[in-house]
Amino acid sequence: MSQKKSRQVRRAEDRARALQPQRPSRRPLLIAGSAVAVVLVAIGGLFAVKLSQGGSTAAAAAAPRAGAPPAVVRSIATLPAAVFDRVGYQSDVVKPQPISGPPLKQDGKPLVVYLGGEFCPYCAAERWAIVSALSRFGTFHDLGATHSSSSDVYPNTATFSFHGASYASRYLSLDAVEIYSNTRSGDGYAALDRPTAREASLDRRYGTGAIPFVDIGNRYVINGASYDPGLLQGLTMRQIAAALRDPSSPISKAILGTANAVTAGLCKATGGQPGNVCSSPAVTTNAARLAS
Amino acid sequence: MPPASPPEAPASRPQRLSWVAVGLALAGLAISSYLTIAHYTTHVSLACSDTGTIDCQKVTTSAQSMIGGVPVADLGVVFFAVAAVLVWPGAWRSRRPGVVWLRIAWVTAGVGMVLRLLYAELFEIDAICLWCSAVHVLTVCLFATVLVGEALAAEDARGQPAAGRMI
Repeated sequence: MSQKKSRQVRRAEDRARALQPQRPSRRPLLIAGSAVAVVLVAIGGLFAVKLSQGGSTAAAAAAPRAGAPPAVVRSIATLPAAVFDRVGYQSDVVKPQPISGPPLKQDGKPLVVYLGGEFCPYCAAERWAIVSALSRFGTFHDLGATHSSSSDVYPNTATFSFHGASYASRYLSLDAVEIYSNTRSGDGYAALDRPTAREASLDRRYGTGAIPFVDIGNRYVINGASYDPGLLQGLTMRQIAAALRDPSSPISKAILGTANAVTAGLCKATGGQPGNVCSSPAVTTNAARLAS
Repeated sequence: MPPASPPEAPASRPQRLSWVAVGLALAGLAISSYLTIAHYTTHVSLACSDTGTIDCQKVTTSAQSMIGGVPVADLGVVFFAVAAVLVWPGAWRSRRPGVVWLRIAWVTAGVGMVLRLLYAELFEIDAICLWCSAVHVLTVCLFATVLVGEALAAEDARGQPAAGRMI
């Protein structure tokens, strides 16, 4: 009798226990917390490794001797499309000449090759147009500031230097080589960057032996300056950059007129990409008049 | 006697987390959309430094800004749009294993992508994009919110009366 009663009590206790809320297990929260901690540790680890490498190593190694004023670089990179369009087609600038070589590519993108020298006043002039045009397709980093030789024609023309600079773009690759500095060495100028075998070969094949030499994806080449470097005489980089914002200035017409013609060539190499640049009035007008 | 119904949970902890997750997903969607617009418009400059270590242009125009020909910014838009649907209160309430695991897998994939892109910024591009970093932070927060929400939901389920769990 008492055994039966105790069985009934046990059953009643079991039922009551079953209806009681179970004590929540902390295991799921522990697993979730661990997963989040692993992610945070991984992120922290990446930053720790980077800091232990001493920060921006690549940029430091490639740093130019004198950097271009950031305001000047930014001013060119943010030139409104309307200014390029207002300058449009300029008949008196020399246009890129068509060539028919095998497509020149790097990293799957059309490659632009530039060969020049810091001493060279014609290169000094051409760089303004090249930087203006290429800034519509990507971004320059670590552009240098230099000037042409003080003992040559158009002395001390203020300009950029591609020595130590890099260029990032989804549409184009750039190999820019400053073969000589503007420092006298013997009868010439001190060597700076050595062209690769491919760059030298392109120069031999499509160049005239003069600098600047620009090959736009083996579709067009530029040999020499496209406008008169005398326009830039006595001006600082900031003054030239400021003049570019006025589409009616002779400097703007020369530099951006050249840039528009170069951009038309670049757009032919990229197959019309990016659309908002390549379909702009300035570029379509120049493209229509660019020999092909 | 019919089995007892589980008590109505007024606004359980996981349910409140749903709105946190929705907020994170929508913020991520907004920033990804901004990055996408900047990607397709050459002269819409990102409101971000373009010199030194912090350089959005350098990152967003790098080769690593595309994966399989698709801009990473576009992938961000898709990620946050789908995430917003998966953490919306209606979906969040669902305890169907398929939905729960899809939600966890989705945010885990997002965090995996964050680690890959962070590696690219630090070691391949050598620049940090602040807007991208904001997206990364939101993705990690979303990951944490979803995991904690699922963990709390699992705990709550275990904490229900046994009879209730049988329904």
